[in-house]
Amino acid sequence: MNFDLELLSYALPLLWTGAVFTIKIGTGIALASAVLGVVLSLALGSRLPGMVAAVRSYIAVMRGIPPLVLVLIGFYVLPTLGLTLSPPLAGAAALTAYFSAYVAVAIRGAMAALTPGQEEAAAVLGMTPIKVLLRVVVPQAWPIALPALCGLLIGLFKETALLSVISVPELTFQTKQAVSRTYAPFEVYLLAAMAYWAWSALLETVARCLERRATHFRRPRRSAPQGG
Amino acid sequence: MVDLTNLAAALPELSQGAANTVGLAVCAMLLSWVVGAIVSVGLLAPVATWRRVAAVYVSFMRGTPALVQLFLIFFALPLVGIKVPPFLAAAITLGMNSGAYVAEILRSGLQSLPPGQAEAAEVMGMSLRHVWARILFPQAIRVSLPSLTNELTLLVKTTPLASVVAVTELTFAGQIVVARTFEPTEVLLAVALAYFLLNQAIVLASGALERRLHPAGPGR
Repeated sequence: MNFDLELLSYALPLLWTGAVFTIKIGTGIALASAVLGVVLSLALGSRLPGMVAAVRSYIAVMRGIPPLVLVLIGFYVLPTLGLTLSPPLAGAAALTAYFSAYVAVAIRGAMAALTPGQEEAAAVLGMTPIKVLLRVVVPQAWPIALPALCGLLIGLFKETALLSVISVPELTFQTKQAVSRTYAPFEVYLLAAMAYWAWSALLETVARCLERRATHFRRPRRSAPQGG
Repeated sequence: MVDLTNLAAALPELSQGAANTVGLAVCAMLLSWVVGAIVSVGLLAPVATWRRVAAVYVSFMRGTPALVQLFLIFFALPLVGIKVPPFLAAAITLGMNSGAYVAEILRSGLQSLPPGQAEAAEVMGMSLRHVWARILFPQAIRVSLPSLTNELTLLVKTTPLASVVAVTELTFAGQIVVARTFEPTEVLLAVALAYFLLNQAIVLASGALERRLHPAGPGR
């Protein structure tokens, strides 16, 4: 195992390009699945006939099939339906569809964990449904959903590695390129693994910080007066 | 229009792929239990070094993509002198990867047990091995069963990664058929359906297992 300078000078630029692409596409997928997940979780509370069943089947399908198969479907099947997307877009669409189901489950679970009756009480007080959502439901559901959502975010960035299979130039793909040119698979793959590991650790630190801030109201400061 | 004749002709090939998927999943599952049990003991060890080693293992396995782990094991091990056939490399990688998650599940299951039992067993003269094997693990497994079976469904969803190293499991077989028949829609949807049914089978089986072990429901 040798990490000589020549190897690094060749591999690092490729890995850096891939890492930047991974972060960009991962962020895009995260935002898209967050939006879609919120829409789905709200749809689960809909009173339209068949809507809840449709969303439930969508979630069941996304939880039942492997993400790699979904990525392959996005790449090979979408063009036959007339929708020819570039590999990054097709892969991002597939992973968005996949993760939006998990986001919807997490949000729905958090919303269901609230003490019942609050939404009705708020409606009786004259609050519009949107106000109920923003002022009553979201502030309470957010700390409950946060750990699950952060776990999904970390998992999402790891799943972007699957996109290398359809030649999306993210980190794993660039790693394979670097390996094929330097003939040093162990060193280069280890570098890539360290990069993913560092990114996951960073996201976990941010997640814990967010979780602490979100549950501040539950932890009284020691300087607060106790009793009389 | 949907043309199923090519798909029907490819069914034996796809069934063989599905069988390989199940075989790969079973091998990885067994390894993940062994690795998970060992690492969970490490996570709860009284020696700080063992705890740190176990924690680093779990952090690495959960912080890096399984695909990169697979490349590390498949392409890098031969350079160290160990030649691994693709199926074995995939089984080892998936087993070690899932093992980290199993370790965390078992650790939280073990920590939920009342501590008095282990102490009583030691006082009665039971060897450490017996305390773990007869008292702690059986209860921890019972308590963690839903999480463990959930982890199994996730393991099955990582088996398609083996197609990247040319293991002829279901996804790889599907890609071969697609390359031959140019009918991605029928084949890939059939493959997705197969994974979905496999997933459902695991969920049903685990539900039955949980009912057998907890006839009065959890929380007894």
